[in-house]
Amino acid sequence: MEKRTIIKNIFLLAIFTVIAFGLNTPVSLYAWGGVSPLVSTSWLDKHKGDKNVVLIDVRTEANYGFAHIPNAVSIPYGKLEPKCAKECYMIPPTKEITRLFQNAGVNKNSHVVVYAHGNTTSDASKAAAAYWVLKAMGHKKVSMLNGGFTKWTFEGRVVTNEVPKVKKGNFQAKRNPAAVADFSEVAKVVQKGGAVLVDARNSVQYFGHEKRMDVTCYGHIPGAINLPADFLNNSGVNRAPATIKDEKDLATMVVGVGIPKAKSTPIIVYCNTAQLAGLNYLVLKDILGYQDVKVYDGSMLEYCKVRGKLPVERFSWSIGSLRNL
Amino acid sequence: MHQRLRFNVAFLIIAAVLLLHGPVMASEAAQVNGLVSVEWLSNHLNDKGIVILDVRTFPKYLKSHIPGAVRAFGPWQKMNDKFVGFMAPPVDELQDMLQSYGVSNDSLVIIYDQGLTSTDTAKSARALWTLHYLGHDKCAILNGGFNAWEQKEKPVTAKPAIPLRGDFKANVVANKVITLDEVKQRLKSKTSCFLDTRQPHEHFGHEKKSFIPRYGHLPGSLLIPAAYITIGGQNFSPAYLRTTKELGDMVRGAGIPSDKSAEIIVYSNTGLQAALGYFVLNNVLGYKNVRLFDGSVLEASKDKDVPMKRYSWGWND
Repeated sequence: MEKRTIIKNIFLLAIFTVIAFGLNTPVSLYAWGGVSPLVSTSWLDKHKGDKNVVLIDVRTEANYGFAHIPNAVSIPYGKLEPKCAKECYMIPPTKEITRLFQNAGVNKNSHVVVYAHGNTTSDASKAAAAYWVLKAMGHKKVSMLNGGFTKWTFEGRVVTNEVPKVKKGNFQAKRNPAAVADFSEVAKVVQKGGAVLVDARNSVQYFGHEKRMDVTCYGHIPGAINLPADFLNNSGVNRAPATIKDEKDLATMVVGVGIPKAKSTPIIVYCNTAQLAGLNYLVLKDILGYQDVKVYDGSMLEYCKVRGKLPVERFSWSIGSLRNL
Repeated sequence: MHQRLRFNVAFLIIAAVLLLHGPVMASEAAQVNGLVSVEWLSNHLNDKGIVILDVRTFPKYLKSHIPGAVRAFGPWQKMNDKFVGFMAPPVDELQDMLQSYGVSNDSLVIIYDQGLTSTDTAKSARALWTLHYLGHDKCAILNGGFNAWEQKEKPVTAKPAIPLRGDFKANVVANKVITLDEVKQRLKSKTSCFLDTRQPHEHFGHEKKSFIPRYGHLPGSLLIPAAYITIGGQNFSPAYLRTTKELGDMVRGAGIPSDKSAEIIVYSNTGLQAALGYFVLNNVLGYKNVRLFDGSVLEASKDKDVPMKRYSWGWND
């Protein structure tokens, strides 16, 4: 009798938890306990006023000034972009990050939600790269708005040009080495293996048919697998906003491009400037649950300049490159 | 002694070059790999036995074209009787069409297109494949097409050429083409190499053309997008074919067997882009057994028995 009541209670508790989670974090169950990597527009509409939620708009200041989601604070993506001398660093120094996010009102325990426009892969990846920057700087509770500002406005939700009053936060940036790979680590992988390299650019650049003007070599880092960030979202298909594809499809794709199924597989993602790689990072690490995913923040922009005798691979899909992983 | 021998050899070569100058050289140059340059064509415009086919649209032809070129818009492909694919018309129609362009069995046929993109070059390649299919190997594509011709400021005219009717007789080479049934059988037996020449996002199944019913590729296909085969559009360049070395690298990098007698089945959406893949493998790199899947994905994806794989690169299937 007593036993039955306990079981019943547990059962009720379980149902309650599921319902609570279902309401709060719509795309979430893979991030049990923490926050979900993606939040939907309807979730955000309910929670944009929450005390603990800090909403960050990474679009340009002009766009922000024209209209943004109520309570959003502006940190244009340009302030997080790579700085290149000989070597390139995606993430500005910790001091700078601390200042930027403290001024945006980010606390240690805040749930930070980032968003950009949501028309193209480039838009989605800006939000995702900002997401990765925060993770790489030690923040634990970050989400990205799925579909971005585009989906928000498509659905006729309220926008404003009012700049919210922000109370300075207490977030302290601290580099998280588990999320960032530097050139020497990539060089080691090229020479000896030990990790899967994933190229997040489109196939034209990966294959070396074309390249970006400021990137000085054609092709990809030897052995890298091509998983274009374009394929991970719905933009471009029937003018849909750049929402992230279903988890099931993503899982099929990742195996389909040749990434091993084992979630312990070490992965390093890169692109030209570490922006697109942000989207692959979000998908691989926090949606599909690969445990060891890093972004090479120098990416091709740096690799081409500092590679020395290390080769690049052109006109090849690097078939069978993982045989000696 | 040695010196004398060398002198003799040199003399012989010079003599041969002098003797064989003209139409014979023309066919030689064309047979190297089925590609001629603007310079070569401008020197051989008036050769006997040369037929120049302009495969661009009619308005473009009327505005200006290479002197002596015949309007040859086709149809090189049309919807077949069963409405399953955009395929080669019946042989007698093609033969009649080629005769009306002035083609005879001993003609050297030079084909050119607009020369802006790889798709333009694919139109030439499709015409070239059609000629090969009908048993006519004496043909070549103008590298860079009309765009290269214009950029090099060669003469053009608006006056349409009226060709004398040729007496071309087709002698079909059956193994240039492969049917859906044979493709199905090859997919089961896994004995052939399939090459997809569409864009990577079409191969992967991220997007598709609206007239194609299903996403993805034939399982196990390799991939060389036709768009990567020329440098059309890069720094305003005409659609010049990539160098033989680059194309060789691509074919290796795409995982195509090095055995030149391997059966390679090339396909795209409708069989147009596939013809460019055929040209590279057959003419530039000397593969002996390249077959065009004329129905391509358009035909295959309508047939529920044909498996198609989505969200993967074919070589991982």
